[in-house]
Amino acid sequence: MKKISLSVGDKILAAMHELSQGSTKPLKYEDIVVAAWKKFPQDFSLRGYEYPDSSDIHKPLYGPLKSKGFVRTANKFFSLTDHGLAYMGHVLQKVGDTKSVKSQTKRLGRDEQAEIEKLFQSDAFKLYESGEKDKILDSDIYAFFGVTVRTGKNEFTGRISVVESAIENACRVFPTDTRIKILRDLNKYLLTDEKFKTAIPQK
Amino acid sequence: MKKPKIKKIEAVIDAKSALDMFGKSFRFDHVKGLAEWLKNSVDAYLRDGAEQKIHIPDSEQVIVVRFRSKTKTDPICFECIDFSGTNHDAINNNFARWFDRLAAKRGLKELKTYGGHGNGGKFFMRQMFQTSRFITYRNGYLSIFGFDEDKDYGFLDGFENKRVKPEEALKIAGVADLIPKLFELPEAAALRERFRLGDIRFTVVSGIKPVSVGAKKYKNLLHRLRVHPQARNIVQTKLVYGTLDKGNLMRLEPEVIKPKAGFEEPIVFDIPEQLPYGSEYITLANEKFPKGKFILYTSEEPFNRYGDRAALNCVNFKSKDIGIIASYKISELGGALRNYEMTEFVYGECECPILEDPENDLVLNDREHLAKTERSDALLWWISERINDLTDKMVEQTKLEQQQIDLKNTSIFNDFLNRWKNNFMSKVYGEIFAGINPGDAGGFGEGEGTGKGKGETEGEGGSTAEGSGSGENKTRGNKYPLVLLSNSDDDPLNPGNTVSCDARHPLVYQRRQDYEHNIYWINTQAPLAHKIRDKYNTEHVRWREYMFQRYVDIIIKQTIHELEKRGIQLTADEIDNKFDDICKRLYESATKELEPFLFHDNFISNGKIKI
Repeated sequence: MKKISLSVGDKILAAMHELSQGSTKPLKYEDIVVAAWKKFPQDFSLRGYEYPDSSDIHKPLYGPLKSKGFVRTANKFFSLTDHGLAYMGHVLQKVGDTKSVKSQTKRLGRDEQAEIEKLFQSDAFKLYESGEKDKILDSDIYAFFGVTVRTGKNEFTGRISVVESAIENACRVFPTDTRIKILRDLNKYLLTDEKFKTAIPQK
Repeated sequence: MKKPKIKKIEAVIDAKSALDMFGKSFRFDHVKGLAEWLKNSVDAYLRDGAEQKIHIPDSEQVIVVRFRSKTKTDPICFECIDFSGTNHDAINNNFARWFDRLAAKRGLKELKTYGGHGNGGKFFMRQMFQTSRFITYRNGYLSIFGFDEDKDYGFLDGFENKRVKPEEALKIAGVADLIPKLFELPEAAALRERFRLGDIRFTVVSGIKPVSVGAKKYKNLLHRLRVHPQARNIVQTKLVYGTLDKGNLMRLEPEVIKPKAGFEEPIVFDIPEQLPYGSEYITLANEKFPKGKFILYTSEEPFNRYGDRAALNCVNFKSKDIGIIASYKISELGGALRNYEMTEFVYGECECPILEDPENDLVLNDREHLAKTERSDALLWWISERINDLTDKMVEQTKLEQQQIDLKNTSIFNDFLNRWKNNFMSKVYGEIFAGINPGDAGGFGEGEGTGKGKGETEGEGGSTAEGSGSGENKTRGNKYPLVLLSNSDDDPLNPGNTVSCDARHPLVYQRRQDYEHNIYWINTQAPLAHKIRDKYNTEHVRWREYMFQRYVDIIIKQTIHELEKRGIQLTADEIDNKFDDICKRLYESATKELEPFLFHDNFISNGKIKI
């Protein structure tokens, strides 16, 4: 394995990846704290002690890792999302083999492919594609991003990141595909149009 | 060989018979005739202004319509008095002429006037009174022109350009008593000043012994005159007064039409340059005549089909000048009209310059309707369609309003279901969730909205969501979900308004702010909801069952989210089990407690049945 420095967030994800055996299985917060401490004791120990410090894990989990769409949370259970798994796969490959990273960028990941397919099936896309964008409702936006009115701000932001990243990658991989271009325009429209401001939590 | 030419001779017309024939259209409508007199008075002021190259303000254009009752010596008399005045030559060269397009303009071709063919006022004098007089005074000369019992016309003996003093002229004209009353009115100050400076001129048109009407009906005549298409604009802008005998002068106020709620703004249409007519197209604009406009307005109150306001329920065709060249009651527009009950709330104005194309002029002598041609037919058909478009929308709005009323009537059902649901959730949730979380009593917690969870970066809403129990700045929601009817119930978060759902919204709908306050909306616009209400009604058991099913949806949704919040792993099997459990309990409760609600036609509220 190549020596490469990982961020705190990546280290937490790596611990979760190992703990869940590369799945989206929900993990207890306490288990993540211990797994991260075992894997990266220098980063997650109480200052001056050889015991785990949960405070260094709490903030990234609820904050950036969630808003980037890498983890989902529910009542102190955390799971990697498909996007999080794909990202970790990418990070682990980067750590191990840089050649395979290059070949990865020419293809759309399985999670992204599934995401794009789902977006194509959404009512929002169908209406936008047929020139009926005025008929798009707030409930269509929730379906488009795969959230509900209950979804918290960070998780919503995370879903937006996942969708945006999938669309951007799809645009890169299929630069001439007109439907993907429409998808990109739609995403921009949903995120910027005044009428949807109240449906989408503002930063 | 040379073609032989016709040897022209002068047309021979029996003028009296021709006038009798044309005059028929003025028979028996005094309001229409009075409107013609008003138009002539305004045109007289306009000519004055044009001749003097000054603008005479509307406030100086005073017109009085007076009705005189029958006395021992005199019959009933109608008068129209203005303070412009004319002279002997003008009578000879213009007033005495029939069917002269420039009569109203008196040679001022560019002048915009209300009068068109120069006949209306004269025909009214000729046809609708036993005798009539045109008494005019200007520059110290008085002339009296008129029609006698035999409908012959000419100057009155001894009153052809007769030099008289102003006071005497006013006496001869029979209006001397009127002047002081007029001068008492503050708005007639300009006229008073003019008379004081010695500029005294006037015209009195009087009709003696009118046909088919008594002076007692003068109020009705004045009322109808205010709304007559040919007079409405004049009444609106000039100082027009009405009076009976020696009574007070009453200012004729224009009818104020308040628009219908939801349709306040006038709807303006550009008339297409061409309109289909059978297999052909009819031109309605060209290089000479620009595109026309059609404007539709609405009224809060319906115009009656008959009666005073009926005249307002029309489409007026404006002249390229300033008058009205035709007016159609909406009901006269033709068979293509739909939504008759709604057309009573509509009126319009059309301006289409090509209708006055001299080569194909559609303006008729009486200015009631347009000449019937392919062009007028096509335009009227198009106008009917635009009215249909508007009345379709009005019908739709009425339906929505009716639907709101219907839904309001069913709010007692919703209140009943809300009470049942609260009771059910309070009892059953305790059992379902008992012991799931250590130390959890199992009851349904209070709804708490988005807030900062203590010790956590983000606390999210719901009764026991992330950051639960210890969050700060929580938004207090309802203990149990509050279920409301969309498009009907008042929005607690925006009082005075309701939440409008679309047919495509979910059957139970929440906005983000609703979630924070634990509110759900039953989508009353969903296709199934519509179908049930259309086929049955909001009193029907089917509608109650539809509402009940939405409560089932809400309780199940709440349960699933509650499970997740309590840390239960939501596998398909787990959801399946809980679904069975909650449904079993829910339908058991409904069978016991909602039996009258779900099965009895005569259910009223609180579980009671109307016998």
